[in-house]
Amino acid sequence: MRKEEVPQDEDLINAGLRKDIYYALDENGEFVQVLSTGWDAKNTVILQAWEAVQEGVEAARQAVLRGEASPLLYHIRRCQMDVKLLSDYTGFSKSKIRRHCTPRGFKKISYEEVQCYARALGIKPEQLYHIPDA
Amino acid sequence: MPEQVLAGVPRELFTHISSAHCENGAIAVLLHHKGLSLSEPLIFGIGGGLFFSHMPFVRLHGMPVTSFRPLPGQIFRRLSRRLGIRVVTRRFRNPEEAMDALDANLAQGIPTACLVGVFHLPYFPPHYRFHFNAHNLVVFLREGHRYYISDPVMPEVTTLTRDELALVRFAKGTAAPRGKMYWIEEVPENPPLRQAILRGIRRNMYDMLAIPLPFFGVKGIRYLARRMQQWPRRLGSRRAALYLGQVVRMQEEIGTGGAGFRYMYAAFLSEAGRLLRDEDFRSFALEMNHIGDLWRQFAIEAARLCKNRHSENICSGYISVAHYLRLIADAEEAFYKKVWHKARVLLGS
Repeated sequence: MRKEEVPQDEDLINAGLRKDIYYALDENGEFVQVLSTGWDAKNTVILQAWEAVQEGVEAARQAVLRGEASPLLYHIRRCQMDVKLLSDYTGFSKSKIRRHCTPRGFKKISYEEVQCYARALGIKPEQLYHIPDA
Repeated sequence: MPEQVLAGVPRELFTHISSAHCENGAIAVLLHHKGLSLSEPLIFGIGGGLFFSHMPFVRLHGMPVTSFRPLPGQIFRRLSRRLGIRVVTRRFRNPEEAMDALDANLAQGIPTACLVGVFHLPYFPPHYRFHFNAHNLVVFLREGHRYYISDPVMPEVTTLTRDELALVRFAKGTAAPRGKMYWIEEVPENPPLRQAILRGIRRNMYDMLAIPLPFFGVKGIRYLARRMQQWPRRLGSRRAALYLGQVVRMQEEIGTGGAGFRYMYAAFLSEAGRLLRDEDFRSFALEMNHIGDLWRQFAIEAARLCKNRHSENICSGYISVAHYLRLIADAEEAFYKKVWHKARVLLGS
């Protein structure tokens, strides 16, 4: 790739936060570092992965609203985790976490367990009980 | 109130270097601090960082892993062996132990690299936060509970609190870092650069051409092409598009320098040519650059396919991107054979 071909396709997902470094040929035929604000092809696939995660989050939110799951399931999805990963973070068994993902099991969570979940999920303890409205 | 602990390398004596890739970047920063300045492509090339693997049985987010880099830590291990750099690596059982050891290092003024997970890194934009556990950053200064971080993919020095740093060092999931940290003890005065470059190339070409398993190198690219054709039939168009998107994401993900490190390797070959005073490497670099362009073209086609995943003849779309991969594999194979031969001739083996 030549220097002037390095894509500068800015998108919301990059929004000036970070720039990619490319190695490209300059006019003297030397390779130099060139900054890029983004690339359409890459933006497409990052957005696609992001939307797939969001679909799962929304599905979990609906399930909580219907009373079929507990807010814990929503938070697990939001953090792109699964039961196995949360089990690694908290040290709780997977079956225990699965139980806590049901509305009935959720009622039985102890104070310490809430603290532990909150830390692993990066939220405040009281947030564990809530899901956003939309 | 207890006295503020201040330990490490003073801000003004520390050089932050931005790199495309985090592992090379961390190495570059550590080496620079020890008085050996090597460019990122040179580190990458000597460490034999060019790679391809597709292993359907290793999964990340429930999808098979396609990777354009060797295992984390490999580049550094090979580089230090070839240049005679003495490195210390440690892993820990628990966060307290790991943070105490880091503090002890900083107290002695040793900048120390840590392997971390990116998901809990607060300065990463949300769209880039995945449970990916092979990010490298360098900690060089502690001010009470604040740690100064030189993250190679960030433009500037950043900071993390003690808790944040402990959390990312003990991220969980695939390939958990388990608090791994490493630092340089000794750098030789006159490292054998010429030898190291040629050995780096020779080994790298072996990795790309001759590992006797179908998942790696050029064979891995063909293997991926074969499996890719079946994705729409086996998984349905939705999941197939996610799989394909993941391949492109790994290829262009943070820090590859574009085209799954192919452009970076081109820059390395060019620099190697200058250091070895050999004209052939000049044309090698251009050819590698061209191979990078092929990968970019593949990414464009693949992204288009992901976007139009509802269109009619999705299967033929996958067959055509898979075919593109085969063309890349052919081009890479022919090229690597040439480079391998050249390196062997120059090494006299």
